[in-house]
Amino acid sequence: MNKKKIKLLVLFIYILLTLLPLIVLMTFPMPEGRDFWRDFSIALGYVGLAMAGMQFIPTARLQFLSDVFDMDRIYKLHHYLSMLSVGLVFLHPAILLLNNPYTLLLLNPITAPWRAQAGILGLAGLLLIGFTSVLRKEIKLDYNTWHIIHDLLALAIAIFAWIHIYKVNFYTAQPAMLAVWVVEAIIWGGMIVYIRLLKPLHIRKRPFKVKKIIREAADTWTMVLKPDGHPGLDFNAAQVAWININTSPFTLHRNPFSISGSAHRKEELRFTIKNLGDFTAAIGELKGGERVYVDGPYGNFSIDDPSAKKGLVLIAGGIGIAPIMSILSTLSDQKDKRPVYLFYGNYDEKSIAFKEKIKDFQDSLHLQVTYTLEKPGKKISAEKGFISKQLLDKKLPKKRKALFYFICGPLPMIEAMEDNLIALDIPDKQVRTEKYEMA
Amino acid sequence: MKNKFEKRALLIMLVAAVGLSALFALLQMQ
Repeated sequence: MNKKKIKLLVLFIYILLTLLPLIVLMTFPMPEGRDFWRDFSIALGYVGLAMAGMQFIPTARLQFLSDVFDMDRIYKLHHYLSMLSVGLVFLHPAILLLNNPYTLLLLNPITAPWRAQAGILGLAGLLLIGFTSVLRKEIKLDYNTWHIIHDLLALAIAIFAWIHIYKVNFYTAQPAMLAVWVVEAIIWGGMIVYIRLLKPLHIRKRPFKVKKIIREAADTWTMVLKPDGHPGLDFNAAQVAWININTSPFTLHRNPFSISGSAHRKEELRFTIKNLGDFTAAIGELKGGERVYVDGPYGNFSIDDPSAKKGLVLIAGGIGIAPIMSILSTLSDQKDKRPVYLFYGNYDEKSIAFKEKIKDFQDSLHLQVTYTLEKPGKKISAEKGFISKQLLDKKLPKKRKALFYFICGPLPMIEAMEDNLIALDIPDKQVRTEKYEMA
Repeated sequence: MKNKFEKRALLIMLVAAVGLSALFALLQMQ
């Protein structure tokens, strides 16, 4: 099956599972309706819950999804659809209350029946999960703590929501409707078992060991891994993997990193990591020999795609150079003759990683390099400031629309580059962005 | 670019969810 067909099939299954409660409500015999607003609110609650439940699908960690969908898009969709599902679920009690203010009595935690208690707890969980996800950075929650809270809350919400609809026992008294919620719950549970048990078991069978740590710039290191008792990872240039060091593959403490090595060298796996003050601070202190578990590779970018055949424009901001080094190393190993334009933005000379390697690639590849520095120094010839539209216009050839653009860096830089490329009339389908921060 | 695909997907799901819910409630009134 080709990528397009898989994409359509995935979207079809997603929409079907999300709308399944409504489809069954309308096609199977149901108890007589009560009033419009009450039934409307129940239907909204049903579809909201089914949509929220679909978020149990670990979008970033299912290989067949990451093969066909862009990971940044999947993250954004997960974010948007989560918020929509929370909104739909909240409309359920809101409409009930407006329609019949006596419903308020059900909110008294002392006298409320279990069906209402479970509903209230589910809603409180939804509020918390929304709050901690949207405001994670503002409330200074580190990624791993947030991840644990997020997963526990998601599980609690699913359980309470399920108890709520089961105990209300109005439409779920119909076997078809009950069957829908049993199927949905099996899918949610199945996803948890797969991601927290089956996948870690598989990863445990393929450990890696730290071979060496190379310092690339002031606060940037490359960690070179070698496979321990297996042939290694089969990856493409610029793919991503989740790694955890010196812990069990069952832990939630894992982080995604771009592979920075050549796809033609499966016997070693390279990740280039910048010290951002968190988990990444420990990379430079690794001695070698540490055990590392790798979950991946993920990502659907391919330098062999027909759209990249005429040449590549690689735009890196800071540590965004990591996947670009993977592309350059792969191209160099396969003696690729395509024209490649590298734009690499940094703060100062000290923060430029891979200076020597990039110089070597200029010999082995048809590569033009442009450095930009906010604070230029004396050693490297660089443009002052950021990668601007004018700079791209000056350095790129006239036939630039046929080139493929790969951008990797922090979000503000990516947004600025997208604007630059739009201003230069570069077609959307020729541009690929990779955001360098957690969603 | 700039979230066009995501926004369209979100809008489709919103319209489908609210529209079908209203349709169900209307059918129940018959």
